[in-house]
Amino acid sequence: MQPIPTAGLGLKPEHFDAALAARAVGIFFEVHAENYMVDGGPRLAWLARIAQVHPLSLHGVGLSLGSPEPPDRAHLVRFAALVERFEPALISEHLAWNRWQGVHFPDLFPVPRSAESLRALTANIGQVQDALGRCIAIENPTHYLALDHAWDEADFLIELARRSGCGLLLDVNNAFVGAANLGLDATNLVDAIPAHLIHEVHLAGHSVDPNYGAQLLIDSHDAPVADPVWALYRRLIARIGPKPTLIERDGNLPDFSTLMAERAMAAGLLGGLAQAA
Amino acid sequence: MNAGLGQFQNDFVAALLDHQAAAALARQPGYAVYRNTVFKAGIEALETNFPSVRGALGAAEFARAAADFVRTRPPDDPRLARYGAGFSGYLRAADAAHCVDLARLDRAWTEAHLSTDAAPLDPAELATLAARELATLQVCAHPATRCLIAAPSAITAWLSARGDGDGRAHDGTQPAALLMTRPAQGVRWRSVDRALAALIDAVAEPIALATALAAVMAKAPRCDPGAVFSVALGQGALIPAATGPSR
Repeated sequence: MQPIPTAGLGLKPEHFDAALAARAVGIFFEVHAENYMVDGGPRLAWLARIAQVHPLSLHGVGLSLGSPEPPDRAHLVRFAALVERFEPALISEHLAWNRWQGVHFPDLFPVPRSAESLRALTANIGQVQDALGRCIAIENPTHYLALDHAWDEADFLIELARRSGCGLLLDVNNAFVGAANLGLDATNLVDAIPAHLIHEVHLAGHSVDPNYGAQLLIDSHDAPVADPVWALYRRLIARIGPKPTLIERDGNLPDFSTLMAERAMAAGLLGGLAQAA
Repeated sequence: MNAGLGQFQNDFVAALLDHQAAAALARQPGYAVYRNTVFKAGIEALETNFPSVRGALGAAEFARAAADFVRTRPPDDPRLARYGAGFSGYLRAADAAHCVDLARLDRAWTEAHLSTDAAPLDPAELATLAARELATLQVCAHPATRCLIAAPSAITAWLSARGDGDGRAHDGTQPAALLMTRPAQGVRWRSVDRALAALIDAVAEPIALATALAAVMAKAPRCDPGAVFSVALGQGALIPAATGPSR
């Protein structure tokens, strides 16, 4: 039986061998589901080997749950096949949309928090959970735009979880970056989500926009987790207790040991909570 | 919200693709983050999927072509490893005809890389068959097998960019086609002649081996069908087909 996941890393192809050999207690690896929706070949073979020794987290980026239309059936079938094959410990997707009139934009677009959006998201998450036979966690978005929202963000997420039965993935970096961009206080969101709804936490690095500087932060995943994000994380887990926590890194990829050191910081904080309990 | 969710998304995409400066959304500095991410991700996917084309065009020219492709033919599938099915056609229309065959070959590699796993015909097992059993053996192409007839210069350039798969020197003749397949985990490739291309064409559906080789002889009368079969077998390009009526 695999151990309960504590702190994990996003799995990059460059680090497959090192990830396979990693033996840190509680480590798990997260992959973007779409990268493994293939008919066969080395990608699937690699993931199968990783899954034999480590818990997996399957993180979708393509279901476009914030679309007014239901999820693409073929894509959902592929997602379900991955879940059935790899039995991931965690499954998550985004509060976002990216499918539009047959096009699939490779990004996560914002959803205005309205009654209509809430209905669409609830229905779409319900379809996904029915197809997977599992509860999924929905990630809070990074905000770059001031939209005409009818709902407070925390209230919207909590209501979405109540209506759909989904969990939440609280991305602390998204909360920090979004709050900075909109002139808000990130603790409003981080403090408001009930512990029982949070299935997973994400941590990542961000960068400043080359044109606007610190007025516009980018959720770039190309740097170490920033100190204010660590501070928010400590505040969060002090309130909610240990939760599986992922270090995301996509750009300026350092060697595996550097990521493991960053992962060890999260694991140490989680371990400290467990000892104090 | 005044506008509905669908209208919001229509406006969002219009500003994304058309650079509508008038759109209220697009006037916010943060809107550019979405536009930049979409184009960056699309271009990077094409760079990954078409490395030989990128090498031939150079980074700057490739990025220009890729950005235009993303704008006019954005992905229709969240699986970006498959993005670029129409890129060779785009290059033909975009006055980059010298890269069309390179794009076709890069695309074939991707298809082979992502295709279904299957165990190829085992030469050791075939060696135990009597001649008649061999002739009636039902075979078909491995799901990963692609054999593309292309300009010799493109095949040579592609091999140079990717490395000549089996390290085999050509026999002095111009390569007519490139055979790719994936008998195990890695894609294998080698340049081949038109007779081999005829064999792969013949085994697109399950067929008796003798019938397939007769089809090869009809298209390339001067070839040695045994040698052609041997190359395909050696590359792992064929699989045993389920027993059924011969064509």
